Amino acid sequence: MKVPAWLRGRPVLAVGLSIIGSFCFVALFAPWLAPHPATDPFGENYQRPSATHLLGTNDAGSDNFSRLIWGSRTTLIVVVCATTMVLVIGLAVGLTAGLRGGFADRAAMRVVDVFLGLPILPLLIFIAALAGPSLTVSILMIGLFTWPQTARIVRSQTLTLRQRGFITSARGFGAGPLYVIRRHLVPSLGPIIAANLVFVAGLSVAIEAGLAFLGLGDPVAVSWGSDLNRALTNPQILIDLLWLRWLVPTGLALTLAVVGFTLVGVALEPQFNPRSNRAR
Amino acid sequence: MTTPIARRTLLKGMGGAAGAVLLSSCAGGTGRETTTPPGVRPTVRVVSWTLLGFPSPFTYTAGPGYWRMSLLFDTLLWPDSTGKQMPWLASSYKASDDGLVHTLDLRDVTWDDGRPVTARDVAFTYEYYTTKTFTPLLVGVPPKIASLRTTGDKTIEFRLERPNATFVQKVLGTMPIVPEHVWSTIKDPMSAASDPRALIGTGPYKLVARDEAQDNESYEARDGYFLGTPFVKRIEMLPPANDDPLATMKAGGLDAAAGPPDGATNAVLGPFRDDPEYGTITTDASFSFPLYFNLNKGGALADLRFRRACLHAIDREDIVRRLLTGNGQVGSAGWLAPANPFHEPKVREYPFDRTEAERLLDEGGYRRSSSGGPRTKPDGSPLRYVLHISDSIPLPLAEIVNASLKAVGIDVDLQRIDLVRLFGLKLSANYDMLITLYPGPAGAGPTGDPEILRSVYHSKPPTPLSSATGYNNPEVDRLIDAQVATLDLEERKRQVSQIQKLVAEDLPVATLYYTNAFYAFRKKVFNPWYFTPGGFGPGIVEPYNKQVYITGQKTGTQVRKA
Repeated sequence: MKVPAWLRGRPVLAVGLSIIGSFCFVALFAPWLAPHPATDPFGENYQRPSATHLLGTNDAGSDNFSRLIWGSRTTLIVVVCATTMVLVIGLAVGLTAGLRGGFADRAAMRVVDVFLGLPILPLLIFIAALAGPSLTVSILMIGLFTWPQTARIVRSQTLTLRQRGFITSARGFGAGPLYVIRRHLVPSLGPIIAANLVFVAGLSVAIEAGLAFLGLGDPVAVSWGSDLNRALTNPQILIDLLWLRWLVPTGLALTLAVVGFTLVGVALEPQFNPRSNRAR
Repeated sequence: MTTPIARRTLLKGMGGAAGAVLLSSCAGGTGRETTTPPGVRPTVRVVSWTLLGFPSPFTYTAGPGYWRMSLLFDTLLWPDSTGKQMPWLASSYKASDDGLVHTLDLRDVTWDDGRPVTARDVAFTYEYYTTKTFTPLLVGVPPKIASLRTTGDKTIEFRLERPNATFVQKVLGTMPIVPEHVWSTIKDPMSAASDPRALIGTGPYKLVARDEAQDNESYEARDGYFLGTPFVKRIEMLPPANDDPLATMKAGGLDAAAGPPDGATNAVLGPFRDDPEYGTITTDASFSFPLYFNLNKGGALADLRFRRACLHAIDREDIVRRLLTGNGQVGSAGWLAPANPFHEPKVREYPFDRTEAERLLDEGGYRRSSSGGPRTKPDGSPLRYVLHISDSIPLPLAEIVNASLKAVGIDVDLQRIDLVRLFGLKLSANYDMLITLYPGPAGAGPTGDPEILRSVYHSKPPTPLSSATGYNNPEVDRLIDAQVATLDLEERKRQVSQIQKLVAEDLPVATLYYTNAFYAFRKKVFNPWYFTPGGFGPGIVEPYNKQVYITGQKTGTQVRKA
């Protein structure tokens, strides 16, 4: 198989993309890949691995392997929704601050400073506890609290770009702000935003799992985080190697997903972060 | 945020006041009477409950709070493993034939500060309890159902206007006697939450160490105790590692530990049942898991066919078999567990039957959509309700109930919240359907005195925490009021039986199942543990009856020699 030119000599990126690709494939085709429904609580519980149940069954009699597969879908939903929110908010705030400058810039950056100074995880836990456990709450909170970094990057790049000749020329020919954003800024910002969003995606996976682990996710959604919590708090987890077929696969899946996004982010960073290049 | 310590504290704390009446439910230890070496007075390490308040008679909370307090204070009567109330702080007790006059003489006992205990202290205590307002979590508050007269320093006479079947347990066997010379100067008893004077009592133990931050307490035996020097020299209360008392005991950190109140499987209990180092005791139906319907909301919730369909849709035998490996029982629609001597077996039953559930829903006009999805109500709106459950309730149970109701076309929005919020919803009647852990912060469990039916089914319950919201059946009210005033046991049983039959027909609340309590202990440290029939104090079904620490034996008041 021929390796694309842009991947040659970049094993970290290749491995990261492979993991993310596999993760997305499993999540998208979960209904066809999972041998059983993920939330069928009417089977025999704590079954050992067999041809029918590759990883046995959990405390409610649901198939562990199927839950592992369906869990990737919950994670993917959170990643896509939260990352989209971050993209929209980060772009809107960053572009407005960078293009308008003046009071709008100062106000936006102070808001960003406040958000960056907040202890995100304790705050998320606090709000999730107040709002009640649900997947929507998890997505909203991840999206609403992880956009500032993106906004700051977009703003700083916008400040640089707007001094460039082609932007000045476009404006001189009467181009409006929306045209400039659409035609010039977004294409120029694309790679660096993409690299940043990969990090955000990895962060979303970890935060969603963390909230679910603490019992702050949707109680009926199949989530790796809540399954980890469920396995760890099960009084039988150390009996009959239950941990090996329930806890370990779930933990590995979660770790792999986070590692996948992190590897891609690390691989992309030197290319799009000038500061990172200089450091080398 | 759900933390392990919060879960344990809430779950056990809220349920700790469970009661048990059944003599036969008091299973004895599996080992010999005691294997404590001769000449040694043991130190016993048990699970700590410092988070349940300062152990004064007015600031503890829930059942485990009461038992800690009972180490420092005494009541007039107190039960042993037979469940019979024995003269305790009283030297003698007699009741008139009509049950209206109860006369007690006090022993010659002194308070910790050396002053004598007098009849005036008893009168003061009863007045203090019945004239001040306390939190519902103070589970041992005696009801104001009697007037009191003292004769000399040692004789007390309680007079009741009407006979009361619960008077002996709820007043004489529950009310800790406090010194008048201390508490008469304290106007707000809740304000004395750290005052060492608040712990001046007559009890067999003294609090010698307490560290709330580390969640531990130590109690040392009082050598001059009026029954003799307590057999157990020291009781240390320690936090279990990783919120797992049984595993902590297995690792050597505790000498006795209980299984989880939400049930334990044979796989978890096996290592203790099979190991000769440990003794085990169990008792049936210490907790139940009722499904409440909010009748005040009307609609399907107030429709008997809908409620019956819900119960028919859930395979409760399968729940007991799979989730508890048989260490529990299917719930009775009459509330009282089979282990309760007042249990009526011939109440309407609701076995698992999806066809019957579907028939009832069809009959009620809840139509299936053509696509086979959730049903619709007669007005065309979806048959959809929010089901609140506590995060202390096993997730598999929530999943099974959710899937079972969906299978017959009832769309459920499952909301899993912490116990405190769940109790808040229950108190404010702001819910559709709700599964909780019974007993809550107060009251006796499903094997307790049938007076517990008042808190569930009476239209004027003492607290809405356990009550069937919106339920009002005048005949049930009348029978509940009648049974508590009936001293004839057989007649009372008939009345209680009738109540169970009526409420099983109406089904304003459906008990899904009961879990058995399980307790394991190191035999070589201390062996004669037991569950008190009827519970001790207000009905606490824990194996922490102080009688056993004091005497070192399961019965009587005679202290065993070390």
